[in-house]
Amino acid sequence: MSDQTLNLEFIEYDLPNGLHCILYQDNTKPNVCVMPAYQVGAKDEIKGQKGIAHLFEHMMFQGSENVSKTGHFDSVMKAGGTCNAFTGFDSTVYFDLLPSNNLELALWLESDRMNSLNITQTNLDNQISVVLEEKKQVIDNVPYGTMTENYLKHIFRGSQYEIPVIGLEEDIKSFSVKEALNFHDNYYSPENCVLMISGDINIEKTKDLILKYFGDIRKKNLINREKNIISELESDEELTVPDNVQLPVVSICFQIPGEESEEDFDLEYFTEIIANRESSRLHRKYVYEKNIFKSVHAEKIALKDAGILILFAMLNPGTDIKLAADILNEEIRLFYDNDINDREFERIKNQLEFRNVTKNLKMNNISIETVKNYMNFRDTNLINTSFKKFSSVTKADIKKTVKSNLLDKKKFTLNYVPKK
Amino acid sequence: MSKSKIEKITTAVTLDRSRQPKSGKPKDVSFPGFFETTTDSGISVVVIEDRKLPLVTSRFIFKTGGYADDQWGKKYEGLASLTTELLTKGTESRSATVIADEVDYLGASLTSGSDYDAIYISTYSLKKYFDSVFAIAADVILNPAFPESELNRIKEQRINSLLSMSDDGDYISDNIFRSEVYKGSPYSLQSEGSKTSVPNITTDLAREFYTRYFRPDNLIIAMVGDISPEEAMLKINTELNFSNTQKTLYPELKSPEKISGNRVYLYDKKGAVQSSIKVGHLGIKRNNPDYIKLNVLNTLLGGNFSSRINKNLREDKGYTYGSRSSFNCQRFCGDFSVSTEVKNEVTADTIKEIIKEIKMLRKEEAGKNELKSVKNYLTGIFPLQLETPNAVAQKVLSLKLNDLPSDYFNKFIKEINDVTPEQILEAADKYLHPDDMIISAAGNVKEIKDMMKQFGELSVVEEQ
Repeated sequence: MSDQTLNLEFIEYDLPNGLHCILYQDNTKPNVCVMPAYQVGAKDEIKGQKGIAHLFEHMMFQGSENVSKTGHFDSVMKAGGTCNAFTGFDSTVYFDLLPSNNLELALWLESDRMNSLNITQTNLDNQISVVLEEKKQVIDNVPYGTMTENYLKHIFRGSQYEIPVIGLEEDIKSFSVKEALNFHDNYYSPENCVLMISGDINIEKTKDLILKYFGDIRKKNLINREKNIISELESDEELTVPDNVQLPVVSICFQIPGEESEEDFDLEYFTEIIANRESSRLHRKYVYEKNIFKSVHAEKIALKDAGILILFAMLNPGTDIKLAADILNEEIRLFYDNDINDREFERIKNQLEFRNVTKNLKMNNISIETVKNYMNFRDTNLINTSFKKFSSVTKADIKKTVKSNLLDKKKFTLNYVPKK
Repeated sequence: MSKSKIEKITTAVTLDRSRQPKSGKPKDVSFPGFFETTTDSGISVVVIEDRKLPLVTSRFIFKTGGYADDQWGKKYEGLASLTTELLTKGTESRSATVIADEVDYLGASLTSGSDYDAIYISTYSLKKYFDSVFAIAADVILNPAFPESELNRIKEQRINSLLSMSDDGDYISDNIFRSEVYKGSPYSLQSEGSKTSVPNITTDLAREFYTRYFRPDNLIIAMVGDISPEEAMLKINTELNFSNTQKTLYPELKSPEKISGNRVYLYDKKGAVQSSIKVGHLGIKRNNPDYIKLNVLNTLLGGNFSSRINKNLREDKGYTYGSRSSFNCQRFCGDFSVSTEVKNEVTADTIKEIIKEIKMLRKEEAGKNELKSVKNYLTGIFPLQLETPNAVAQKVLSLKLNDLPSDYFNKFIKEINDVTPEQILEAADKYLHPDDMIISAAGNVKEIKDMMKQFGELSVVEEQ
């Protein structure tokens, strides 16, 4: 099955100021993706500033020394491209996707806002309003919208992963221009950035352009980070939240090791065998045959330092939440007690093989995965080798990991029920 | 890091960043070529060959969707949709669980769905499993069994899904908008069905729908990816033989009624901290010759981040995280709308700003620079939209489904570039009607009702 494994080739080097550059050439389409990723995220926030990393990401689009407010978006669109950014716990990633004849424009825009940000009180106030509406739109006004918030609060209590990336309303409101400028000084420095350029490029010319636009940006050496100390749950916990929803939801979750750990690969098999597809165990038994779940999913929130594994069932009207939780727990136990049959094991391998090919369809996806692999693991080549790790997982590995990371560990049960 | 080189560069000069760099010479963008033909039985086939990755997609489109739910003197909302879902739930030789097992085992997907215009079935797999998954798709299309027990199961699931979807303010606001804008036509129906219509769907109705519309002359097939036209045609000719090759007869289509005056519809969404707003009226069908002009017009008004409405509501006022306008162009009719989610207290102010922006577009010519930006954007993102073979297929299929010529996209960039400020003004006058709109909002009615009365006749909608 390894015959489908692609091998992407990267050119990789550092500028003297510490900017790490990764180039990936593919001239089949006349497009280019410029992606500066900064190694800073919500986990670097101190108490009283929760939400700052994300709000700051918004401020990166509000103008720099030579670019006006909304100038970044306007210029990229005028050049026939799109741009955006996203903030996570571990990093903040910006990208510009545009026709390759405008590569230099994107480098200029990115270099200007790395070099010097222009932050005014008016623009900050405006973006604070926008972010507060974003918080409502993606969390508060959404059915079951606070689930992630509750997972994090329980599974990562006391760690830097405890508060969602979007942050706390009072902290967002209190962010000042001075704090924003400090944040830029501290983290938006070339040595804390990975710049990936992929697509329709010429390697030598691109290297020259990178040097031209980023070579003179001074390294700041300021970065100081909060320690992320993650402790395990000491006892089982449970929370039931009344929400404006019609159908109850039950979820069982566990703290698991971080992304790209051996356990993470093993648990990928577990989640797919137990749920998600129609032929998975929980779907077949409880959605299809017994008709008591409306849907069932298993997923991992994979972060650098640790993760969460979630088993999630939406219940048909009339199904008792206690019964549902028992079913989910019992299924994990059965997973360990019984054998994984060959066909379901092969099925997961085939699914992973398919995913391993499709992830190479879009430049943007290749870039996102690659900058993350470099930042988190200092291993750019992981995109080429991770599938091998999946292939080497054995049935015994999976069962062992399920025992040591789920059955032998404390869990958090989170229920959502319709408000009376 | 075996494949990558680590290099060091040592020189750097301080850069004057005050001047924006000039664009390089743009590369020619041409729409990828594709193979097209019609089989003896009348199936319209396109093949988009792209050998870069070992992936093959096959897509089947039957040109009859939810718009055909209104017939036989009765409205069977959800019939096209439930019939489609039932296809993969059993054939003469495979049960629902066997179909799911076989497809999942290959790491492949077999999906089916519908909208107002059509029914869509598709497979997606590695090349080496394509034969197997295509055989299952052909079986599902040619020999569905419509088992009673499976229909009962999906009806119950559908009713529970409808319950769950009603938790979402945007979904409710969209539903109210659609049912009012398209009133009188089948496009006003709920294509996924409603809690009163779903129980009335029977296997007899599904079979009747299937018999009428699953015919070769009503079918478009696209084969995409690591496959040649010869391979594709061989598969279709040997594995997709319909027993019923009669010509398809289409239901007569009722047109939507005209709206005059603004009308406000509110829905009280329990616990809402924002209003989900959708404002607009009837638009155009996809093959209207003014489509490209309206595409430019819409991009300028609210079609991207830098558009007038988003800049006003987000970057200037801070009312919202985002807003957008769009022309939703379907086969036989369409709509124009602006939608956004805003804090309760600015719901009316938001509508005022939207109306103001629409009126301005009808009154004043767009600036040359502004228009140039929009055209650059649309022509520049065009190749970005063609990055994957499936994205190309999507565009080709839209031509086939909407009876547009095969060379449509070859002229696309030129036609965008030819649009003038006068034409935008004309199009705005002809197609935007800021005094005859449906204004729909799902939110906290107690807080927003009084302020919304200023826009026109107001109703509070009880049930969705």
